[in-house]
Amino acid sequence: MKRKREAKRNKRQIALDFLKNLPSGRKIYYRFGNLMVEVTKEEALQLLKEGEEQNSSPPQKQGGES
Amino acid sequence: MAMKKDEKRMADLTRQLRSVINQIETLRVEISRLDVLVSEYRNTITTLRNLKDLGAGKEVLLPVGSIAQIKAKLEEVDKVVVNIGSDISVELPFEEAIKQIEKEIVAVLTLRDALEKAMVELYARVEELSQKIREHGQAEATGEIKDEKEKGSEKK
Repeated sequence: MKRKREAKRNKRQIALDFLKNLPSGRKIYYRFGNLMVEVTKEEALQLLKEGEEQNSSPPQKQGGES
Repeated sequence: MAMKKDEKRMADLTRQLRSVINQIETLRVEISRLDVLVSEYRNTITTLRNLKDLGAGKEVLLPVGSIAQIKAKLEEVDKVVVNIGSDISVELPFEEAIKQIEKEIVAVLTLRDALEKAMVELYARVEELSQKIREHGQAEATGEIKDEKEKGSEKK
């Protein structure tokens, strides 16, 4: 589980570095389900950051505790 | 008492052996998954090169699910959209896209090599554990024969 999370983080870092070094004017797409949506570099970086935050936050407990 | 200790040792060795065999199986599955990936990437490069040779304006069939296709025209073959991971794809000039895919192939093959090395080490561990189990089994058997002989002489 921990190794999977680390691999995901590595992949995200690779994507992040790739985007940062990408010359301007290149189109970037983000996959939302089956749809590929064109995004700006800033939006893509933001989406990657959000993905990282979601992953690093502890899993929420299922069902309410009274 | 000694008997119980022997049995425990044997069970422990067998458990270790089973665990190593499971690890080998997991590695084997992962390696074949990587082989499929490399083959898929190589096919992608071939397809891209073929499309580039055919040139823009060529009619192609676009798959819609696995059963239907619709006609489409190649609008541009000088740019390719490549997935760079984490749901992000980037439009790259043709040769850059090919280089990026080749880079991915190298990365996958490096990982494959590492897994194969780990598998070789695990096979050595299997050999080592099997040898220990055999030796232990033999020692146990001779111990039992000795015990039976001793019991036999006591009866006489």
